[in-house]
Amino acid sequence: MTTNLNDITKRKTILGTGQEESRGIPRSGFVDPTGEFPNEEYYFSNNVNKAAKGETTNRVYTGGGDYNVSVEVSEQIPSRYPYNQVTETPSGHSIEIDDTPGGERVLIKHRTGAGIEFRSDGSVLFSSRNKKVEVSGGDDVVIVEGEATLVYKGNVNVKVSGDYNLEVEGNINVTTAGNKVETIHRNHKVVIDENQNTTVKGSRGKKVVGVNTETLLSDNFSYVKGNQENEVKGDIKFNSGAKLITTAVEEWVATSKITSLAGDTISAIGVTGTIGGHQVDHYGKTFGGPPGGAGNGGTTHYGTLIGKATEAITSDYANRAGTAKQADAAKSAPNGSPGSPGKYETKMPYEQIPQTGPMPTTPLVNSHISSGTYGIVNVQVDPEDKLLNEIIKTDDYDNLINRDPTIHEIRSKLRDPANLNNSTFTGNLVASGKLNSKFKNTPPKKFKRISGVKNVTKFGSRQLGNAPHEKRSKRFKL
Amino acid sequence: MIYLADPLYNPEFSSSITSSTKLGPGVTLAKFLGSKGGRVQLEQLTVDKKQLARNLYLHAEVIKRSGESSLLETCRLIVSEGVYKPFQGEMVTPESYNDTRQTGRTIIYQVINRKGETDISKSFELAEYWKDYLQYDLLALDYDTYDPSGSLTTSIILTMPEVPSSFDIKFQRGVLTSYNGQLLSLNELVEVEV
Repeated sequence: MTTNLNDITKRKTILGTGQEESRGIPRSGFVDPTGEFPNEEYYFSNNVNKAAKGETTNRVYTGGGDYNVSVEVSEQIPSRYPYNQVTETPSGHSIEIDDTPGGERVLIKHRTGAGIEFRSDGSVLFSSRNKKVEVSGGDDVVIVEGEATLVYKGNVNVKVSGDYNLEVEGNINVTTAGNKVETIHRNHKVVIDENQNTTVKGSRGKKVVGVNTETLLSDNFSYVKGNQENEVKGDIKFNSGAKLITTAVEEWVATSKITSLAGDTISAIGVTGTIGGHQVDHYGKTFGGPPGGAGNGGTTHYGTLIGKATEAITSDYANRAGTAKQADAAKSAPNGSPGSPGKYETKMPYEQIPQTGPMPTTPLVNSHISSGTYGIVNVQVDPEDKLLNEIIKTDDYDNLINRDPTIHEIRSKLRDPANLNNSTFTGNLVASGKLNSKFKNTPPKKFKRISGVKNVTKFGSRQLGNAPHEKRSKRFKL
Repeated sequence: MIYLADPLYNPEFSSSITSSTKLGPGVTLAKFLGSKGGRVQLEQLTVDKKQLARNLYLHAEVIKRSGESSLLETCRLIVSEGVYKPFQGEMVTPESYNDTRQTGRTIIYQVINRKGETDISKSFELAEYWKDYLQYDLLALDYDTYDPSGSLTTSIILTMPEVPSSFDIKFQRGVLTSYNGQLLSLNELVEVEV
């Protein structure tokens, strides 16, 4: 390439007119020999960069926000000439150092829109149109005085080689639509200064290989609507510092090869049943039952009785009384030998031994079972499923969802015409204030643009054939 | 027509399909699983994962093409309702949007402005751009006033055909506008205001 017109005739002879004029500086001297400048947007106008004059404003790309996530920053006033120093390359990269009063900013922008912008109010916009890589060879400190929002549309992986310390002065709210899996290779310790509440809508399982110890320093309540089974291969000990009361509405069974019940005071009462066995010894102060004798509904003893029944004793005494009378008679007889009338006393040795309590008659047993401190407790756990429905909510939403849905989830469900026409589902959503009550009766007020199936002719805002510097190879001069 | 899939992102060449499987530059399969209106996990889905990925590949192309458009310089295109998994026992109406969402054929998008709200005007323009420049089975511009505040929300529902492993696809290119779940206009896109 030459810088002046020396030897141009000679070079034209050698290279040809077209090639020489397209490579060298044309005779006009004011046209870019490469054909890059001026850009089309500067045709017939001042070629001072439009951004320098504030006619256009270069911005790094931010796009829009996410749902309920704003990316708005303060508005930037247009640049004023000659405060904005603009360097723009043919492909569209630009660097701006803008001293416009009230709109001071610095911009470094890639032609794709990626870049960094320092706004007049001190805001910094950083934009990457593709992958972003950030590497710190040493420490990294981030201090945010305000709020921060992170939105990731894909997976997020955080790998920490050292400790991961998280300190939060407020609450931590974690919501996951999927599973939460925690794998801890060593110990897990949780300290809760106040209360803990866990709601599980499905099943819950727990496996402990080692010892499980639960220490409760206050009351412990457990309510089970279904069955409960505890199967322990080893010993079970229930030790109570006060009372241990167990009741069952239908049946209470305690079975073992060796069964022991002991107490200072012990009671086993019932209307019918069996106590004792073939080799069982009975000890006691009194044995009682209804009078009447065998076959008459009274108490009956079978087998051998060692000792004397009261009637036998009475009978004995009756006999002895007769014998005594005979002896007296013999004594008073004129020729008889004297007897021994003082040997047998007529006073009965048997004394009535009082029973400790009344006989457990049917009314007394029934009263004991049904009322009082030791009566059978009628167990009621969520009898009308109110608590269950409050938790799982499937009844509220006609088995379409088991939690209070967000407006996004509602919209998703209503994509199905069956759900849209499900008055139970929509009715409950309206009643709970989650769905607009007038959604079926709100016609559009105004129609604006309409576009039919026929393609609309569009004038591109960008030149076909890519950026100006790429046109260089396609530019010809004859 | 045989759709020429980018071999870098063609799911047919992936040994396994996971939520990290890339379907386009910066677009993973997870993008279509974790939307606000339909959060599902890939392992929960019973559909053929390869088929799902192939169907979603076309949607990834849509996202890529839209990102190149100047229409989204001040807005963002988000997947508002991705792949759908019915609740246990839920009967899904055959060929409804939720039915085709199960296989990734239908994905529902929203255009969000810088304030974090759906942009009605840009939604119309983007739908019109898609109508003219993209291939699809059905394009629906959907408006609703479901929000308890009564505000208008715009979504763009895009249904793609089932993509076979040969990528031999035929596009129906149907267009409609719906309002609160009801058909508002067939064969045209309408911009409305409430």
